[in-house]
Amino acid sequence: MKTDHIIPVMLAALVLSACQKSTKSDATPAQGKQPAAAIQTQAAGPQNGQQAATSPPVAPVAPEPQGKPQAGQQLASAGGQNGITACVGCHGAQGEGNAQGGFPRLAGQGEAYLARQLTAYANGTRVNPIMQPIAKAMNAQQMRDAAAYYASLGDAPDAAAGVPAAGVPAAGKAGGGNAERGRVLSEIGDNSKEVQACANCHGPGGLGRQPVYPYLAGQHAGYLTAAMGEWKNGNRKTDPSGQMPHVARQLADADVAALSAYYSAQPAPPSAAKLVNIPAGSSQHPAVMPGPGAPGPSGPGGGTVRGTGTEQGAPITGGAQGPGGGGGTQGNQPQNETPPPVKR
Amino acid sequence: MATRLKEVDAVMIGVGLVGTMLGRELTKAGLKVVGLERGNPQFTVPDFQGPQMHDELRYAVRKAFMQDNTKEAITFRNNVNQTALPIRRWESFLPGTGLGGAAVHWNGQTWRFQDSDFQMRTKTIQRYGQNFMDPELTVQDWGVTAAEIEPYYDRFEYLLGTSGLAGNVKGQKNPGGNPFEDARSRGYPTPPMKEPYGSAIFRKAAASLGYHPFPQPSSNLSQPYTNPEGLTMQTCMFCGYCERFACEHYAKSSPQTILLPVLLKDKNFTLKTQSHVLHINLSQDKKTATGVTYIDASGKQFEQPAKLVILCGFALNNVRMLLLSGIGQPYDPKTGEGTVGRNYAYQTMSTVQVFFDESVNINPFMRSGANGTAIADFSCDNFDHGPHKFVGGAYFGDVMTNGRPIEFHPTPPGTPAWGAAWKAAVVKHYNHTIVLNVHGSSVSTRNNYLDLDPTYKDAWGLPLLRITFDFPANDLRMSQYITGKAVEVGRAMGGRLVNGSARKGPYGITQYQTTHNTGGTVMGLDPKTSVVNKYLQSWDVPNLFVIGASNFPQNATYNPTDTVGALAYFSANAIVNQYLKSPGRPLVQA
Repeated sequence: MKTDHIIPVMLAALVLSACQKSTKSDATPAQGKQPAAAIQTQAAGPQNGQQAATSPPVAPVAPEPQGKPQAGQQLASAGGQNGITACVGCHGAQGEGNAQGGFPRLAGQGEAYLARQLTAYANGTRVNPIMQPIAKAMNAQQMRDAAAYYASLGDAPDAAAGVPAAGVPAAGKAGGGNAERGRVLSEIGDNSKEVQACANCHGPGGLGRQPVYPYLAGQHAGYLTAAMGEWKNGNRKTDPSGQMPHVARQLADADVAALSAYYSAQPAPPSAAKLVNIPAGSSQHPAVMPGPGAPGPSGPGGGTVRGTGTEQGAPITGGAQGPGGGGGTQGNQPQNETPPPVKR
Repeated sequence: MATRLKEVDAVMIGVGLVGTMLGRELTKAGLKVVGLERGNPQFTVPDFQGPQMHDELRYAVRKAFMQDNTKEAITFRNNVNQTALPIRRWESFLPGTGLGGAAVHWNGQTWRFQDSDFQMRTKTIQRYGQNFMDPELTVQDWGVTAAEIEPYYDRFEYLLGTSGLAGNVKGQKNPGGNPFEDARSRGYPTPPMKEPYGSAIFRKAAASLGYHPFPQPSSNLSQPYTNPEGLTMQTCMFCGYCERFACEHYAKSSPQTILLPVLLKDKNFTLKTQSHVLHINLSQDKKTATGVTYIDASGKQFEQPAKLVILCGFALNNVRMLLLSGIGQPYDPKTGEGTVGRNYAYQTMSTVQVFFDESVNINPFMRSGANGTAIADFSCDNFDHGPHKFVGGAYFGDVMTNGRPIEFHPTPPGTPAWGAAWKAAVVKHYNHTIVLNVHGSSVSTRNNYLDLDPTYKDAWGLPLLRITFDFPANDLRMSQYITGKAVEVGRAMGGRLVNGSARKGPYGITQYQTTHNTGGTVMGLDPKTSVVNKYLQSWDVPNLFVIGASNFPQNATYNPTDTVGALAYFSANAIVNQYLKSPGRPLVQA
């Protein structure tokens, strides 16, 4: 059964769920972090890019507080003080959730996303009679611990492999039209309803996009439908952009059911904790690399050729960006290097 | 031979932003309107959806939304002594094509021009004397004032749902807004966008130097908004794929989100895509337009007769269409006579890079096309030009639009252009660099103009448009002065390295600067120096209206779209309420 689900991964799809962007943007300048002396000397002095490019990195930024998965595991299996009940009772021993009860699968979900949901239950921006008392009893560190623990789980059974909840069409075997409608909504959207594709935020196939957008693939259909209901009726106010409430209001119940059926039939992504962050400049390679015999241009010794053409002294891959875009170097290239057009 | 179709009340050449607006106004007035769009139909769903829409290679590098220059290029030279050659790849500017036109791939920066822009010649002479401007300048008044256009700016911005903070409502100054703007009748439809981190650093630094920072007005919306046409837009997600891309989220104001769905339901309106207009047809005396001839995707030619012709393509194509149709007298730089193609202007751009150390994370990828913070202290005539010997100005600020992987690689001067050292510098500076954009005005001069190329032809055998342009000395002096001011702000921002250089000539077309090409069919009070009257009606052919940035007699400090939209409503109002009462008559006597 498992292998049958490899192919559908390729299909782009998903339901929009938390569309809020992290907005650190309203932060104020961190004046304290600036080396004031350096500003005055270097900024006014001759500018030497080579030096700037090769000077050693400044002190690293202090890491954000992280959850401890082991503490989270303790909390999940045995609960805690102040009435924190064990998570496993509802969310399953491996974080697989419970289709019948409408309890979501948590295994492998993003840590930041999970921690934010607990915060939302605690402060009432997400309403749920079971989760709210539990979240209110948790402190911030416990929330991070629990989130870190569930993010680290990856191989729990997903909805695609499980038993469908009563009243919800069986995953993958849902009536053809229904599943197709779900696929179309998730990948393409519906212009007549002014609803964009879920994939824009939740990624192709509902695989989620860390750290903000949760995965929907392999989530239980009953939970997905209930979550859309929360967006629609205002019990969930965790999207400051208003995109999710809008989408939920625009979609008919049958559309939501189609999406839930579709996503629950997709295999869940691997654990977010298994994602590898390759440090800049390291010699580590991503997991997916072209094999030695892969088609494509090759240079001496069989190495892949990565052409870097130049035009008028500027690399053509280095930015037609110019001043209007993000910037880059091109806007500052002295224009007098431009040769005059050829005379005929 | 062209197949002759049934006559309609009005035909529009181009269904972009202006075409959509005029289509709506004219059909509401009861006219049967045909809109001819050379490009493809395209809509938010299914055409603009992710993840495909974030294909930087396809849209930003290969420019999928732009005019196909294998079929229709433009030739370019710096001056009349050179031979122009066709632009084979769009770089300096990006003419759009397809339903919705350039308003699909624009950034959403929505600025009003100031009264000193509209009356530039008069006000410059008043303040600085008769001989202040360089003799080569052909700067002239528009024939309208900011107060006259204000209601149309207002209407257009409420159509777009623009997000901003007003600086002057009915003369009441509003702290935090642009203090230099002319009085607006009410605030923006939606509050300003969230301020990115880099913009906050800019704001503090600019304020510390006594300047007046304010949030850039944006038509990527800060919150959901339902416009007067009943269409609802959504909140911008700061995805960083705006300019050169279309919006997948219904968050950018484009014809597809603000008006087209309403227009397309109107029985009086017929949209024909892949319909490429070859020329406007004239009566024997050349004083009346009888319709247009277009060619469809299968190569068949059609004549679409119409009582009224609206030419509303991209600025450059408006000029070319008049020249191809033999309407008006082409401009001759030797004699200074003729009007069509006269007063072509551009925009004078420069940048200042502010490199921070690695403790300051800018997150440039988390941006929108029109977010950010700017100052207008050096825009327009907001400062004393007396000591500087130039006219015009620039706004500048942190209005970064993206940190996309292929094209955003800020590196300090002296960094090699490729190789290991370049890669190391990109890694080091990618997330720790703020780029200030210096967005400067462009004066018109005697020597910068548009005409038909004598050599090169398009896929239909018609001559290409030829651009003859170089940066006027006036604008280079302006850029020198104001880029210097931006560098000062950059230093106050606390960067450890600040790099900025003013725009230098000659103008080249191989590096992106801006798509703000203006002029060539300019509006004005005198038929000797303008192609259309203040209502954008052709002096030569009164049942032809030409609308777009091609109407600008010179280009102002600010981005042009808001003014294009306001002029479109201004013109539409004159057509519906004056022209249609006695069709074929000039609204202004020459």
